[in-house]
Amino acid sequence: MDLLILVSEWGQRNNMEKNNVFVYKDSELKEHAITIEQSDFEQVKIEKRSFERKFEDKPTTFAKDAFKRFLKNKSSVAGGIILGLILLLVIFVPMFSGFSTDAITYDEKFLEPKLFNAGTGFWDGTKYIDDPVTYDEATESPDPTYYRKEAVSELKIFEGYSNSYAVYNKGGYVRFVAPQIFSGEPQDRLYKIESAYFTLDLANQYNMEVGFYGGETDGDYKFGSYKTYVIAYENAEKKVVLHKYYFEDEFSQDFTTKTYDVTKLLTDNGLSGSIEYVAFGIDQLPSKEYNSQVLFDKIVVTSSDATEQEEIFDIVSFTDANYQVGGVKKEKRDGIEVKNNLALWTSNGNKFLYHAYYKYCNFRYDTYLAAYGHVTRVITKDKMREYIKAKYCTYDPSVGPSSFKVLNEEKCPIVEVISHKDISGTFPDYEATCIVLNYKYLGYDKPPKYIFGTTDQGKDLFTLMFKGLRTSLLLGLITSAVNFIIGIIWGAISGYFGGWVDIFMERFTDILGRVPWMVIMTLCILHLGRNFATFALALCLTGWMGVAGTTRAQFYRFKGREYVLASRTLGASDVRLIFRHILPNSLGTLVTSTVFMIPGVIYSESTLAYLNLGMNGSNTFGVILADYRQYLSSATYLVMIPAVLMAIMMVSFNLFGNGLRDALNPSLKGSD
Amino acid sequence: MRRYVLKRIILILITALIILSLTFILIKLLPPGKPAGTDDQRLAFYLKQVGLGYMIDFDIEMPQYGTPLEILKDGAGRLHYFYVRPVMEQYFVWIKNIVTKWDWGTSTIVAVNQSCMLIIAERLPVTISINLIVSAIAVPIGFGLGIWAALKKNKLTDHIISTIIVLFVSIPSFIVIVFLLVLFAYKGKFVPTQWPSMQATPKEKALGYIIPVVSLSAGTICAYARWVRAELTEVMASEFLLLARTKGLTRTQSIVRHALRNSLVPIFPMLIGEIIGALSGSMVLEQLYGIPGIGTLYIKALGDLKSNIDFNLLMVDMALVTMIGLAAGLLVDLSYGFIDPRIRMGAKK
Repeated sequence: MDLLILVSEWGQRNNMEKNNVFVYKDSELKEHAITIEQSDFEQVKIEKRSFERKFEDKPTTFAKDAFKRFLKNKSSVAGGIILGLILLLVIFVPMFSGFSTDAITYDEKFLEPKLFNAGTGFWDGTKYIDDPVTYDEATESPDPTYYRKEAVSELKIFEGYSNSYAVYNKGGYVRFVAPQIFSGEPQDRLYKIESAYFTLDLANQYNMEVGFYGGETDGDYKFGSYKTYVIAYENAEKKVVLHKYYFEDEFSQDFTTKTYDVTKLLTDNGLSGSIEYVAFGIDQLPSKEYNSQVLFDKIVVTSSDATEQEEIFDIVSFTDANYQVGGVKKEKRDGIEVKNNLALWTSNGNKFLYHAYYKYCNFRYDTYLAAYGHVTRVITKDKMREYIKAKYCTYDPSVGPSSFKVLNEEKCPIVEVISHKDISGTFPDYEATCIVLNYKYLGYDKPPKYIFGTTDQGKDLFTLMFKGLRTSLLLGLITSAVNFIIGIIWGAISGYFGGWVDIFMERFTDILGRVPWMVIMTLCILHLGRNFATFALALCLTGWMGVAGTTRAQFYRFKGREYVLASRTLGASDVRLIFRHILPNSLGTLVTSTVFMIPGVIYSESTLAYLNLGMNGSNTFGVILADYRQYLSSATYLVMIPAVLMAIMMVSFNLFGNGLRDALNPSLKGSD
Repeated sequence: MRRYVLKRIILILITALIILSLTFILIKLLPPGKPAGTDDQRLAFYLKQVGLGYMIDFDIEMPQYGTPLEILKDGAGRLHYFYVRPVMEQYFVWIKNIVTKWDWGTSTIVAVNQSCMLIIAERLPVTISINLIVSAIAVPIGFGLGIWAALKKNKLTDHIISTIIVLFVSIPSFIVIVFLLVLFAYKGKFVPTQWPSMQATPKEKALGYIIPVVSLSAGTICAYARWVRAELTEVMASEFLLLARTKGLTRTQSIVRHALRNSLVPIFPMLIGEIIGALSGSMVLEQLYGIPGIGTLYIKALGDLKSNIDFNLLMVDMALVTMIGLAAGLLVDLSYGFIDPRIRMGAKK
């Protein structure tokens, strides 16, 4: 520039005829001429004057910096990724799962989680039942009222003895117990067990066989001494006299199978002919020191007359203690439960069962095979018509089962018609009892797989859980957003203005904050019912105070800083100072506390559900967690899977939140 | 200091009065609950309520009081028309009864005609015993873990302890209970699946404490460990500790005499707050394990949330929880001053 001015001055001094031609001499005193045209001049910037220039390289923003720092914290990233996955599942699972969570199908209830095909033993829809299940020898399967034979595998049968009645138990002993006496003499109070009365004719030969047992026993008992007797009615001078005749004079402790000659005993005592009332019994002497017992496995009374044997003595005799003590009514004959003879034996002692033999088993049970395999069902006319119309099969109700023919092997649920029953009435109908393949009957093309199993109502737990989580997360998001906004406004005003405003606002939060959370929740629920809005309201009533407190503290920290003062001297308004200058500095802490609020809401909601105060009518995650706890022992997966998901989610939220707090902390900016 | 304590106590009483008044009025605004039981029991209950001043008894219908809650005939053949008093009248009667006679009313549903105070007193020992055991276990273990982790900072021990801390701090206690129940009660069969009944043997009763105590203390231990670790690592990095080392103290001496003491300053008040606060009980735990404490009582008093709410019992339970919370807050504030003489609570600038 300087050179040019010099040159131009020099040129003008030479007084050239054209004033836009400049001449100068170089160092060798050679002349040069430059012509400068108007077009050589160009305004650099016409409108804008620039005093400073932007950096060539882009500056890093706060968000970028925070993100960079967040990425360095590996566990937080993992937490974030897991949360992201859960969020995706929450959004998409209820949309695309294909399983409805509204319909209730009890056929599909309690199906175990299944990911692999059956047989792998892990996550395959089977369940190993290691609680003893009674084994039914007749059908060679575990208790057929609860388990279907074809779904059972890995069957292990054990033998055992039980002191309590069960249908599949066998044998055992009747334990006739004379309770310990605490006052009086044992002789005064014999304990007896006595049969019902019956009639006998001494012309026949009667024997009574009692199978006493004297081996080792359990419990706090000792063997007592007994006397066996017959009671006979004697018609003596129109007075009813019952005589008690003992087979032996002494109390005995001989515990073997004994046969007593009843006819001999009675004739020896001078009785003859037909006796109207006769009963058998066993007396036991109680002890002052212990509970005494007499055990016997059978009492059989025989007669030389075959018809009498069958008709009368069947009332008295018994051989299977299990049936007797269990009180099973096997059949009725003329109003009397014939086989349950022991019930007809009266006793002033106690009759217990001892050492009944039974078989029990452990096995693997394929819940899917049991639910979707072959089952017997009653097919109504409408259903059958539907199948016939769809050309799955043909069936002629007038002919019956033999006319059934499968046309479409793949679609037809019915395998075989067993029986047919016509129902007459205004609308003639029929019922065909059929063997059907249940998954086809339920409308599936192939047996479905539920990766997390099904609930007590046959709903897919996977879908149900994420649907519930959607509600819970939504509640969390809404309440945290509302709390965030209210809290910031409240805290900002309180913290920024200070003084009396602050004191009043602080007192208010002090009192409201001291009300226990449960009390506010209860009041809201009592007055407004248990719905989404109530929960949101109750959680907002208390939740904002945390954010407000943090905001207030941050405002106290920053409002006296020099940069705020500088801005204020430049004339910035209060609103501008609050939102433009102070708030962004405390935003990191506030955002973190809001993120932590979401799991807090899920936690609160679950807590309420556990207290039976859960949201009505909608299956939130907490309600699912709490509801299925009743199946903790029978269907553990229903409780464990939501619990594990909850645990994973809470840990992820915590890791993510911690990472976010460090990343958003302005004091750590650029530290790495 | 004494003035400050007095001021705080008065403030707490005022706060409690406001909270309980609001709760009382809000609860009494709900339709009143009718008691269960036979006619005689109900009559006795109503007469008691009349005596307490919550209801009015007339022998003829009084339309100006609205519809009678119940009409009952007594043994002498007299008809009783029982009316509910207006809420504010009830409120003043309630306050008067508490202040003059320390009478908190009788239960209507849970244990008809029994004094609410007695019912609470019956159940409080269980809740307190569980929480005291939890504190007795959690404090030493939590502090031990925290100190250990802080001393081994950024080593394997620290990482393992920190991972455990993050796990148990995040997982809610009711999830821990579920895991414990499945593992030890249903699969392992070491411990009962429910709180043992009154008739249970001492061994069963002792075993019954395992699940509640473990599930509650797991979270508490980790919370304590986290505080202690954070505070101790901060103190360990401070300059006065370096000075202590340079003047010739061993590492153990410097840690025990200087670091630990100073790190306890902010922790101790929190500890007191936790222990006092825990006395109000964990409702979920009590509900889940069937523990007859004040948490279950609260749920019982709520009934089905409609017709059979036990108002008086609910009020007493709420009052108890509120008072425990307020007392915990006061103790925390006061203990700051006792532990660290540099902190003068309530002192002017």
